[in-house]
Amino acid sequence: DGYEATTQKKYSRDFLMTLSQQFTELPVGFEIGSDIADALMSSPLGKSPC
Amino acid sequence: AARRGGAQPHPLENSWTFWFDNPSAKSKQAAWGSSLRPIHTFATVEDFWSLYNNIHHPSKLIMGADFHCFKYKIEPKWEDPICSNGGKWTISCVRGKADQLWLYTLLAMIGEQFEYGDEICGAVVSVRAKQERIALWTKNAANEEAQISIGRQWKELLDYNDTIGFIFHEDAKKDKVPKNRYTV
Repeated sequence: DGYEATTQKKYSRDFLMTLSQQFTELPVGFEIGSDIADALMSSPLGKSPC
Repeated sequence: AARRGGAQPHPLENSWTFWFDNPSAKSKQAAWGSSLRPIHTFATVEDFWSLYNNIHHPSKLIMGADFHCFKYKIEPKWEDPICSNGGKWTISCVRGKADQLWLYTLLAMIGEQFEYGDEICGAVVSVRAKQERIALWTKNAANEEAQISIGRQWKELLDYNDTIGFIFHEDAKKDKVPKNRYTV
């Protein structure tokens, strides 16, 4: 299911949705100001799930 | 982010940046855009979900908020050199109903589902008292063929049946109630 380097990277909605529940932790390097964190984030910051 | 089973990440054709405009940080005198700021840039399907799963969806955002997803290096402003000759398609829905439309818009953009994907700058969801609006910003407003194609495809992808209109940014700058240049 690889693609060639010259091919545009297209992903259908159905395919993208299959990955939706596998990635629940914030990306590495994510930073946000505390002033907008409350308005934007659905999960509290600074708490490690581990 | 955890990579399950060591699977390779799925790179996107474009990198995208989420931007947030926080109305609670704005005073009445503050200029438009003064509280607009980039949140994070992502370039893989995995990083998209890692962000999306941790941020509020439109129905949970505070009234007055604008949340943007634009191609990396394009600022969600009329003044941006890539946006300046562009325009936007807009759909609206009753308050609390935009979540799925917004997600489907994001997936269509990052998954490069539009035939004229190069014409797309990004999308913004705006939460207002009575409704939520989603706008799809494009580059060359005068390119009618491209805009019509994008508008039609967007409606199909969202299964949205109402008529939508395309406004030139140039008109929006001059007129309080700019006229639709195209409708589909």
